[in-house]
Amino acid sequence: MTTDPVGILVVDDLAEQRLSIEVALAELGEHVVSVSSGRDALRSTCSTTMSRVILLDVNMPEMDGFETASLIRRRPRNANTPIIFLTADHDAMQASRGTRSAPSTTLRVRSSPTCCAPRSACSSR
Amino acid sequence: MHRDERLLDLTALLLHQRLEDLSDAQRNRITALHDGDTTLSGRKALIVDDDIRNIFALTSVLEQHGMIAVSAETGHDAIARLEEASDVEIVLMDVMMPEMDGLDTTRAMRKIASCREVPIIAVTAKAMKGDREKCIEAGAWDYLAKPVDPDELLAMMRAWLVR
Repeated sequence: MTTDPVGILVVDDLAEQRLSIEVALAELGEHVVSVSSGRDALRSTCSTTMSRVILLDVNMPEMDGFETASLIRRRPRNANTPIIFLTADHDAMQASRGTRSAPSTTLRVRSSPTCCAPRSACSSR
Repeated sequence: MHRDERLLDLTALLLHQRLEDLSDAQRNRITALHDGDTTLSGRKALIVDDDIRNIFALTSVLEQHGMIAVSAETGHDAIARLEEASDVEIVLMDVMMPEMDGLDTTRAMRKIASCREVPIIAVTAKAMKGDREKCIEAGAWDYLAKPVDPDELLAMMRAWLVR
């Protein structure tokens, strides 16, 4: 079940959003894996050695970014994996402060994501 | 090896005694037993559950104790995994699963020659009267109710893996 080490795991339920993030990340030359749900993020995290960074959409149906992050955080192996939340809703982020699912960084997205947050997270490891 | 400690550990577990309620000497013996964790470390467990969140949470607990966790999200996948390789030393089996439930999967597993003596712990959400008997009849060796208490799970696994 073990595959190549994943550099960046992108989790977003919208295909167009995943695509635009992948395009923005391409210049980093990292191995990027995109999945469309929190469940698939857990599957990917279980079966790969380690993601160096996880970009996680907050608003997803069924299992949202908060629940996904809090499960990933509870696993000792992933306790220090940087999680960057992607959201257009600033209020939702405020609600997560101080909780176990709090992200390492938050990136507000509109139409096209910027690449600066992932870059800094990769270089600070 | 550590027989007295294990007896103390299991007795405390079964009597629902909390670690902090025991005497210092008893507590130290149990803590030393857990920290060494030679029984669990490096052992391979198969987690069978249709909810990836449960698999992930149990994987986290097992990995904390040095175990290697592999998983299957359906009964069919679990059987395929077990037929492929006989490296699994213990199985945590969710009972309520769609299509092929944990009891059917347990029965199918017991028909695989290499799996006859592998401990299976049945895990079930609704602890109903007669559940335990049904699990044991199907071929499980033990039974655990959800939500799973990590300490209880670990003590149970140690007891079956020490053989």
